[in-house]
Amino acid sequence: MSEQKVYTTNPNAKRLQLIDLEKVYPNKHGADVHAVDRINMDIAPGEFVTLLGPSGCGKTTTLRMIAGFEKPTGGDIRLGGESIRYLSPDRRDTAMVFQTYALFPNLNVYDNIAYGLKIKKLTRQEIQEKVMGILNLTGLMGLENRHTNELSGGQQQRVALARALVMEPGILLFDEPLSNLDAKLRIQMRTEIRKIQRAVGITAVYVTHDQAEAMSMSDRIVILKDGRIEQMGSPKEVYYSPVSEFSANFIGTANMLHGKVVGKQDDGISVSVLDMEISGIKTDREFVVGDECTLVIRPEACTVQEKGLLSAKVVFSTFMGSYQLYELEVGGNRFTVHENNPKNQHIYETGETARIELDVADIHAI
Amino acid sequence: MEKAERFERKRWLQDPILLLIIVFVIAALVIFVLLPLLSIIQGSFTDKASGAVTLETYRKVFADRNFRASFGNTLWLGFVVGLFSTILGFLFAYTKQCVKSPFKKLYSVVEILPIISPPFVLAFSAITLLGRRGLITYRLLGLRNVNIYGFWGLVIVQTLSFFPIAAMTLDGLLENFDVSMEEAARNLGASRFRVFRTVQIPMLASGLANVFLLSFIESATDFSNPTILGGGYTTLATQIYVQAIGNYNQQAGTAIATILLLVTVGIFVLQKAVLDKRSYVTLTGKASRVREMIDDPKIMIPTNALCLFISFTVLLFYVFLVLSSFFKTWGADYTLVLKNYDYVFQYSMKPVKDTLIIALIAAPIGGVLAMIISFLVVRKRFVGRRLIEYVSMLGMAVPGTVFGLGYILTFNTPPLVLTNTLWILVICLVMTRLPVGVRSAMSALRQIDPSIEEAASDLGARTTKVFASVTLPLIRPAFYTSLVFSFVKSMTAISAVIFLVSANYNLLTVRIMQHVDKGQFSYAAALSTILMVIVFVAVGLMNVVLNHLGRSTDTKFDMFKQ
Repeated sequence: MSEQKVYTTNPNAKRLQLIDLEKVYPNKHGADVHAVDRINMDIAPGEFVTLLGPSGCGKTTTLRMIAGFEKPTGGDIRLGGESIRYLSPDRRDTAMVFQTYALFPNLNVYDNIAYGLKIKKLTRQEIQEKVMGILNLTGLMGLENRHTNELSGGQQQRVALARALVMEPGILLFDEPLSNLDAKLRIQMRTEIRKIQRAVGITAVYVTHDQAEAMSMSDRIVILKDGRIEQMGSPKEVYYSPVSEFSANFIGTANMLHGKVVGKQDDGISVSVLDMEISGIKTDREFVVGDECTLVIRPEACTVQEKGLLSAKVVFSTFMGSYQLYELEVGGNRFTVHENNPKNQHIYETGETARIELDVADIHAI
Repeated sequence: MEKAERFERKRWLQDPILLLIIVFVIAALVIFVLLPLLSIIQGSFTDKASGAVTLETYRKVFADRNFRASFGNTLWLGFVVGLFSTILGFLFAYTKQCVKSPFKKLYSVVEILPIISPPFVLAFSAITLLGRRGLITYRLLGLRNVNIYGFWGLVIVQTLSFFPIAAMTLDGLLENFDVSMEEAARNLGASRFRVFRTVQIPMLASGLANVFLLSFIESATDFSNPTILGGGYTTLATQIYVQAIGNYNQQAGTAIATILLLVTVGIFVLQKAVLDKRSYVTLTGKASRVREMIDDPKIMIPTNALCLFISFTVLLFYVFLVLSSFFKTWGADYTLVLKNYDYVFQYSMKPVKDTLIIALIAAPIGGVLAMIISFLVVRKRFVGRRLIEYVSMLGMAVPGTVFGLGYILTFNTPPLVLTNTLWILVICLVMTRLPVGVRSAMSALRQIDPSIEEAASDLGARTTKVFASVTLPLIRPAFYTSLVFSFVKSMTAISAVIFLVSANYNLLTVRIMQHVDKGQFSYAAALSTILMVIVFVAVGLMNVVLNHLGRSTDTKFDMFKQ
């Protein structure tokens, strides 16, 4: 599955392969729990991959196995083509940014960042150069003598990132690093992390449960569910071509309509849904006539107006600023529409009937 | 699979120093904790002459009316002292945490005093103040036939000695309760008493049970108070010494020791179960908000009055211990003179010096060992981790006299002969004080985000480097506290080491008991005062050092510009 796309010219960036990676714990009753269930992944040097999923899906366990804090019960982890499965964390060419930052409270900013370099036994001169360089890159210049408890949340975050980056690791690991920041700072930091990652050209694996983070930062998103890969692909792929209702729901909001395949053409399939037939619906699946299918429609692809494809009744209508949020009822299904820039549009109120207009190209069948 | 196992083994070899340390710790615990206990148990089942396995010793011991009485006495005393200590402990903790009071500093001092004093100081003052010719009972109240020796004397002294531990434990629990739960109950219409009955008490239930059992163990393992104040009221802890050392009947000593061990370990297991069963304590550290103190006089006045009464009693006992070291003749002439000090300065300075040396050696060894053990137990996963945890905690349940007897039995004969040396005293002190150090280091460690240590190892630090550069600096306050605590406890220890002193090395506490034995209470009081002065100075120094450290970590900017 690995694409031949080149992400970086940095020779330090390494390829990461997870091969049938597995983590099984016995639970209280002695039964096996598959926290991570034979995952396969091939991450190119310099690629930014996000592991996305609800809590308990195995994303953090996977990350911690890559770092070496948890031992896999099966499979292999290869970094730059070599197995690191049996290496202790200190011998792995990985550097992690922790959710709680995990800064050493007994050291100042400079010494936090220099910690790993000192273990590498670099000369004081080299350490000084590298630390100063990274302080510059992460916008921490002037804070090097501060104590960690004298920093804001965003600054602590930068120190954690700097401390990992300065090691020039083969791969950079992020464990929900932005979850302790407030909403505005989170958006600012995610752009910044992405910019720095691109500038350095380092391989990165990023764990989060925030789909907006995943969408905005990643080259590739891996959606995990119950320890298995549900879907893997670029943000656009997983958004517009979800493979399952779980994927569709986890990334963004999705409307689902259940129908039956009644015909196949070159440009798609015909589906019978809500007492009508819609043709030219795109799909990645090999349907045969007679199959049940689900139509996925994104709320922002629709508008509510007088004329349109689907007839609907407005259940709830509210102004959200950049869009008008409609909750509608369509043939017994709940249907959400985000009507963008509602300033000069006619607004339908609760109880009114209306029609939903959308382009068939925006419908995806699964 | 086989290949994988080989790799697992190899993984161990990646950190040979860690492996070495684990092996060393396990060896130390097995040799100096398990072995002495096993040799006691083995001794009690072995016929001395033939070496055959026999129950004869137990038959003899159980046939002895004296033993049966001691057995009952120990349990009954433990129960009553446990009960009173729990009640007083709860009273103090509740008053400190929930009731408005201007005397909270005083209560804290009273909680601390008995913990850092030698275990027998209250017994001396009990005799001075409440005895047959006591200052209160005889002089003040004119009572003629008061007998402080025996059950009630022991109950008073042991309760006053052990309730502070109960108070401190419950104090910590109440402090960490989330106040919003109590506020929620009030908000839902519960009266203050109803909150107390339906929220606070149920949440404290396991804590109260724990504290009761803890005080029970303290009472059952107490050696010095029953020796001084017991009179005819004998307990198992003292009987072990009397049989093994006094009557030269080691066989009987081992059997009694085994029985007492069974009792205390049983209670210890019960206590563990109580604690594990259900804990409502929010382990987030400090409670979110400060509790509104109760200022209703109907609650404020009686609780404070009771606490003040107890506090003054404890303080009175301490003041009179010091005073009685200046009395011309104990119990007869209360003129204050210095002659007792002249005597002890002339004849008892060697034990003072020995004790200081031994405590100064034992404290750092014990402190470092406790840190290492707690690091291994809390942060590492390896075969033998449970063993290390349980054996290092076992000392909590083993009565000092049992330990002492076990050490004699084990280290009196080859391969490891340590009796009559300084080292047997050092090792015994380290091992008996270990549980407290390990426990406090473990709780300090558990409050530190493990990802800080993971970050260090992720950046390339080996286990030993992680421990030295991150863990140790972070638990430094706990380390210093446990250092001073183990120094204090080494200075004041008596029950185990009384078996191990020799002509070469005598200890201050043992010397005090020897004076008591000869009826020289004034000398004993003088030495106790000296002992307490040393201990209080050490604790005071620790506070200065800790305060200094607390400030310096905040202003330590220039580490790199050295």
